[in-house]
Amino acid sequence: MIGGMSVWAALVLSIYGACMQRLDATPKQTGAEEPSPRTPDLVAIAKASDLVFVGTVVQRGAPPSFWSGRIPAYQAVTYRLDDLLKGPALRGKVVVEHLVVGGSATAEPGDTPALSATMFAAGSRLLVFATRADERWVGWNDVCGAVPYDAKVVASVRAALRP
Amino acid sequence: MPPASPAASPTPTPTATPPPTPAPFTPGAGFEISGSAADKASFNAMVGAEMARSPSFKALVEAINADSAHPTKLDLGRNQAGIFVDGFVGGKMDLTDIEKWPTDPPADHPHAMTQGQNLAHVLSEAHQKALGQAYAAAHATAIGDENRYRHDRGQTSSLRLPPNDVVLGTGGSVVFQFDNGYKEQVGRDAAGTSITGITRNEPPTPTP
Repeated sequence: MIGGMSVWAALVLSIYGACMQRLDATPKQTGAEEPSPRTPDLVAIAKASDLVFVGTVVQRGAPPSFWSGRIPAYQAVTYRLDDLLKGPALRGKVVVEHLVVGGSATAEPGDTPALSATMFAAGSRLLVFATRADERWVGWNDVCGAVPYDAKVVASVRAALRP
Repeated sequence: MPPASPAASPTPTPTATPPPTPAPFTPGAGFEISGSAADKASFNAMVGAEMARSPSFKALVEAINADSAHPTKLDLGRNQAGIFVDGFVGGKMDLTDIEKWPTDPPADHPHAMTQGQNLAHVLSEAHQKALGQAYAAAHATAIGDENRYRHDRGQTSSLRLPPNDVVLGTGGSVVFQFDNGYKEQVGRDAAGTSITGITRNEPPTPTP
């Protein structure tokens, strides 16, 4: 617990806060179906992504030996695909290579390059955004490439992605 | 005595005059550079030389140098833990890695990467970070700047846009991918953070 708040809840606030901060230039949606204030940023990311899904972490691959910089560093995460919001009709397990950027919302704190062990712990349910890169799925967003599952956010993203 | 006619004069053999060594770069208020005096001197000499080679590189450095409102931070060093060429956060830059690339493409590998190309990327990305960009956006901008440097040097191919710019290769190597099919494989040491060798793979020759 962190000041009465669970680690997971603190992570949720941290990640969504980071998304808002980084993407505050994204135009806000208006209208009767206006989603909650934090969702427009994720809607923009979802629209720019090739694959959007709710998944449960099965396992994390080996962490990279360096932080992203001139050369991007990735760590693979295997998900069980629970709910496909956008993309090809995938089933079963999906492997997404996530960027590992020091100090980012999705990275493990400290000096050792790795994805957040808390956020990407086996069994964690996440909303994942990925881009097709040749034969790979890449989480090409160090701030919001994956966010903790939130039913309202998922509903808003799904609604925004409807044709 | 009448002057000898030009036709009778032996044509002097031209002697190659080495180009003057460019002056080292002098960082201004747009840079916050830390590191040893020797590393700073190496960095400034490298930047000065590349400014003389590439107009776009010169413009990039001058723009950064003038941006005192968003100082670009670089922490120069060699073989730092967890750093392969450089790190987006913290601004660490491994000069030993950068120096593994040649200043000019080898004659038999016209699409090869150079020190200047990598330096352009590192400086551009670090400046984008100073401007508040997240990594993904900063990295994409930096690829644009390094490709402009390549074109200044007469190289016709471009590094592919992310996330197709780099993939993992065999034996822990990383492979840079270019839009003409050229691939440059960079080997890494056991720790995975230092360059052990560079293998240049020319694009496949088109079949008639």
